[in-house]
Amino acid sequence: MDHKIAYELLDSYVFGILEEGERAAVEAHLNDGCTVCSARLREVSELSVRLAATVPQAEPPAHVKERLMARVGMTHHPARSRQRAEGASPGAWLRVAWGTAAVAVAAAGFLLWQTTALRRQVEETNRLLAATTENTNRMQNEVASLRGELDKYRHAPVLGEPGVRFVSLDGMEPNRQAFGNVVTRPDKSAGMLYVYRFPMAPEDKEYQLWGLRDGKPPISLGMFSVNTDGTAMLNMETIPAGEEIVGFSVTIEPRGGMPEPTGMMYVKGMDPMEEDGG
Amino acid sequence: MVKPKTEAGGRMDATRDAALIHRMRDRDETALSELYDAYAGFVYSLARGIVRNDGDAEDITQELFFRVWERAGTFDPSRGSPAAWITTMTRRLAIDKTRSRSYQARAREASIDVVPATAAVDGTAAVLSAEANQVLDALNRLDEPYREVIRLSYYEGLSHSGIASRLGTPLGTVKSRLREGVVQLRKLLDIKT
Repeated sequence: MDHKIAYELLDSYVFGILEEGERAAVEAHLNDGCTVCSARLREVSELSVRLAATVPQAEPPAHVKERLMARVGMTHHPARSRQRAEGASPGAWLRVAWGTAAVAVAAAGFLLWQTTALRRQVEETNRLLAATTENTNRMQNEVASLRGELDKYRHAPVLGEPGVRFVSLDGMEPNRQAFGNVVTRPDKSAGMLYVYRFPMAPEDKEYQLWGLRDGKPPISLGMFSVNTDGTAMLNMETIPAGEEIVGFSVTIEPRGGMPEPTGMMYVKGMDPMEEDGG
Repeated sequence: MVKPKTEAGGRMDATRDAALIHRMRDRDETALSELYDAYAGFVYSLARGIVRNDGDAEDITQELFFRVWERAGTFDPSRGSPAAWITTMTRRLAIDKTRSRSYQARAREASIDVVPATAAVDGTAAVLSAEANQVLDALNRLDEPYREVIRLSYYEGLSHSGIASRLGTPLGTVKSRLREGVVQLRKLLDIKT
């Protein structure tokens, strides 16, 4: 722009009333370093400041500064600008609101799922614990039972033990198929009876083992029932001390046993050592 | 020169204000905050006098200080004081606003023009500062043709053609009267740089 034209337009330039094209041309001229125009520019600018004082004064609302500083913060702090930018536009608020709602729903759903899963886990654990407890109790009972059984046999003779006495029991008519064995300690303080092919006794009857004594009535050594396969085992825990047992027999007697044999004899056997006079 | 009093109660101080603008180059937000406190009322009032409504004046005030923040590095003291720089930018923003289609549409619907353009020629200067009264006195001492062109250009922001149309005066005459009116006013106010 020609200096003369630019100079004549400086007042209007400072007042801000030039059209865009003229404004740009004046600025270009000033940027070229025209000292005369720059000096006049300063004078007119100061006049403009003085004229501005005649305008009725008013105070801008506080939110103007708040918005300004927030806007500056957005450009100055990119990391937090996105948050502020989203907070500034209605669309962003909606996005934030929907996003927050979605997160809340997702969180609620996750918590519900997690709670349900945990509840099921607890229930399953309790069920397993109850089952385990029940199983443990059952096993403890079994162990106690087995210990009881084992205790019953703690005095039983062991085959192969030195001095063990072995007595075969033979079947008697009409049950010739029945047979059995008796194993006793050398002093006959304890022993075991094993029987085979015995018929099931009526409900009111039991089998009774007798210790046969020389010149004396038999002595009861215990009652037993047979299994469905016709077998049975009886632990003779304590044989009365001092009794000279020369043989064994089994009879069927009323339940609870009899002081002396009254029923049919199923098996009988004599201690060969006693028979041999040993 | 008597320094204009800003709305916030502080006075324009070229040295201090230039320092604040310089600090903004280093992204010092407190500097912007201080400058805002010193000039907010001045800027808002100036814009409000041109756009004649509060909402637009608020937008312009925010935009002005944002531009100061963004363009702090371009401020050249050799071309004028910080106050002059701010005044020129404010006026430009406000006048551009009045020339926008949305503003023109609202003007036709008479939804604006609720704020007096200026106290200077409306005779409502009762609460103006001593500095403002001094300026008004100088304006009133101008011959009517010069005062009228200054009023229409400065306070109403009309373009050369707009003034010519309003006054029914040739465009060249408008330009010469404005130029002469400014010269006389500077002399009356003893403005030298």
